[in-house]
Amino acid sequence: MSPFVSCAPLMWLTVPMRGRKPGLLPIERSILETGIELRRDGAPEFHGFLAASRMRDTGEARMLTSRGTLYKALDRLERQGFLASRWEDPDVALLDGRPRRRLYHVTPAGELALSSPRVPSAAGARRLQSGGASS
Amino acid sequence: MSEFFTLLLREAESGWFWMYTAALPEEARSLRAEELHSDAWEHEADARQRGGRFGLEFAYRVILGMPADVAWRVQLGRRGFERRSGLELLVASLLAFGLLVALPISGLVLPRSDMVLGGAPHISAFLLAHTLIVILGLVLPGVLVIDRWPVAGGLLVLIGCLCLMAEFWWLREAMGVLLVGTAAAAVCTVRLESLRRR
Repeated sequence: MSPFVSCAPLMWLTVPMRGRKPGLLPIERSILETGIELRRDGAPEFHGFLAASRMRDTGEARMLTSRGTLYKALDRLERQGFLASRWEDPDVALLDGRPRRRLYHVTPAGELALSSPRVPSAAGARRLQSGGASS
Repeated sequence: MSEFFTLLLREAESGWFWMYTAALPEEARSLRAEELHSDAWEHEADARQRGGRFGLEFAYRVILGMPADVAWRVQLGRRGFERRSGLELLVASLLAFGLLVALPISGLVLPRSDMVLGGAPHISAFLLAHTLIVILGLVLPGVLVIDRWPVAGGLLVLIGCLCLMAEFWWLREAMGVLLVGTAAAAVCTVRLESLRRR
């Protein structure tokens, strides 16, 4: 048996992932719209389940969005700069007797992505967030 | 929906979480776990308030989300891999080499060889090559990763030592060294794992 083994099976790990074509998936669009609606209703931040239940209640989704789909979409939106998140103060959660929440809010880049038919790239979104686009 | 079924469901969900987040950095894993735990809590509270059936809703949310969980894991794995150091890449390559070459030789070829079946003990080129392969492909990666993943690293060293023992059973000095090495790996594994869990 040859001691020289091809590393080809491992190469898929090193190849950078091909980015999906820019554009929002329906679930991502729904999340951003829900976040903006919630802010309009006086809740500037939302957690994952709140977004899912709101989408169900408003009829945007027939049932509660599955957990994997929901949190993958939130992760992707955050990486693109369309959402920002922070962890809730543990003391607040402790007072309410529940686990602490991860709270999201829609960024200006997210609003722009929703209103614009052409979605900016992740780098463009970051520039927008840092104010680089205005200069 | 009985409490027992709900409990069973949560355990199954924990098992699924454990599987698809295996080998992720601890921080990413614990944050994801915390977010999902919060989601389950909110869902249960919401179902109680609405008089809905938490168990069934929760089950379908977990099951339908499984492909997305895997996709998320693959994406995260690839993103993480791009940031990995050369050392980790070396360990991964050595490990793949060890698993593909050293284990098949140790398990399939050595037990059938004349030496093991009672032939005259001698150090052949084949045995030297096998020793090198086992050390490079199993023992070395084990030593390199034992600090980060104590159980996996300890197991690799143990398997490597067992492969070498199968080869050098007739050489008393070598067996002594291998037994000491195995014991040291076991002590390191237990010690590092207990430190990691603190």
